[in-house]
Amino acid sequence: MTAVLFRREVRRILLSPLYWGLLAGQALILAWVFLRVVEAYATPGAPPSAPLTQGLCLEVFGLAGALALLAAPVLTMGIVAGEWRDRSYDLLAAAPLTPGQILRGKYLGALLPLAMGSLIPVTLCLLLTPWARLDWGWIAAATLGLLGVHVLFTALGLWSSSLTRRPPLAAALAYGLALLSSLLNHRPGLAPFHGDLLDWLTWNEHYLPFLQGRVQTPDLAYFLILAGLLLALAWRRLARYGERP
Amino acid sequence: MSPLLEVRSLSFRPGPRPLVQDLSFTLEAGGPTGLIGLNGAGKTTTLRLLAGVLRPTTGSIRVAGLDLARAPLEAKARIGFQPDPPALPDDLRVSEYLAHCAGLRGLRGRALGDACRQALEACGLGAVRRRLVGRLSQGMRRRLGIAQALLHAPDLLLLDEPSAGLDPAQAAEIRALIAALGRSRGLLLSTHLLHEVEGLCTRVLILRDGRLVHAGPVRPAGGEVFKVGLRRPPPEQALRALPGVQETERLHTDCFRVRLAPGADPARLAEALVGHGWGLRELSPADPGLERLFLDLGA
Repeated sequence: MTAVLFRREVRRILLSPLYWGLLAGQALILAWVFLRVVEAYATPGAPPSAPLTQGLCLEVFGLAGALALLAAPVLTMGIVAGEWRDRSYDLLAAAPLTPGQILRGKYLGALLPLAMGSLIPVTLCLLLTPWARLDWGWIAAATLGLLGVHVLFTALGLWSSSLTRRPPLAAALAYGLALLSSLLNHRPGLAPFHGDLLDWLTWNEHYLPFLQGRVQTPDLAYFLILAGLLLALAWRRLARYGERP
Repeated sequence: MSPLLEVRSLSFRPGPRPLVQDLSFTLEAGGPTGLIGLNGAGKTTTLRLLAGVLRPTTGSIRVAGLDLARAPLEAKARIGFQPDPPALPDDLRVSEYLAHCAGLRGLRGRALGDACRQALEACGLGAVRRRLVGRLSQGMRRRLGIAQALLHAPDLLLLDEPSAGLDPAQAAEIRALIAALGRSRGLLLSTHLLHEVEGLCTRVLILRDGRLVHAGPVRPAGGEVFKVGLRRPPPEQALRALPGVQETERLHTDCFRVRLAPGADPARLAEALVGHGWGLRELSPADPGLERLFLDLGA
């Protein structure tokens, strides 16, 4: 029954013009940055200071992570809040489904279309294969990191959506939390202080190693643990749906 | 053997004001049961509690002996629920929506196809099965709401305002559908329309402020009721003393409502009224019906 909900969520998002608009916008922005990076390497007489793969990963994949932060709250805002507002959730609550099954179906159904955004940078890199030798291990690491970002922000969007019956409010909350998580360890005028809780909570601190070609268990664990925590909180909200009229 | 639906001391108190209080009743198959009450009386909340959407604060709900709180998945598999309004996805076709709902009920493959076909047929939706839900008329949307509740052949059907917002022709079609569905299963129907309950239901539950104030047959036991108009009205006691008269009520100075004893012959009443020389000018059927019961108890 999770598969039924999964298919419904995938279809709902894929049929949304907003989704295709955001995906096209992401593709255009990333393609423009990609061309700028490639142009810098292709300009005669200007030897690059770093390998092309590094430039692509830091610039294109780095920006793709920020764009995921912008897209996920909008695409997930109605996933629960919209159904609660329209009372269409009653159909799920009256069906022989557990809150866990509903959550799995909705989460995976939202993650798949959102994670398609992870394929844009790697597709752009593939265009260079006839002319440039790229470090595909490095690109695979960056793609894995970007997937982790999508796993995290989809879970954040789903949890925010389960906190209210107003989708725009859910999106605003998810944006606020995602931006807060981006800036937690930002201290202007002070050297970054590593190793503290704020650093650990900052998502881009864990994304950066992937962009540098390093796949580290603590960074992978960060995305999985935080996404799991957010999904557990969302599960609790779904399980308590029947307590309010 | 357990009743099809058994509700005991059911209460729902999400805040300081309880929405449903101490509800107890049973329901069996064989004739729909009507659930009526003023706006805010707790009809929709009651149906959502019975469907397992809301969680009772206290009390229990058993469906065919299965406790909805302890075995929710098994009990919900026995219940079909049509919420009001039936929140339908406009982006799906009718057949796709039913297939989705059947999937949520755990149906697969041939069983899913058969269930969808039967539901489409039962609700008269075969001709529009490929139409987008967003392009259906109100009547068709109501039918689709009922069709999704039938997919898994539930023992108990809960319908919330199934004919609300429909034109008279559509409402008549829905009523015919409900009458057909109610013959083979337990059916609890929430509605504002008293004539709908009188025409369709064998039993009625009346809610007021979240409390059950009446549970019984739509037409109470007893003889026929007549309105009697007299030019020279006698004291009410004289009328009550006539043979076959069970009870009387003075409506105006020269007009009475008279209930006969079960099996009493109305012709004998007419003869007696004429024989006493009270100037009989009207003798017409006047079943007080559900409206009076509702106004006395529910309003």
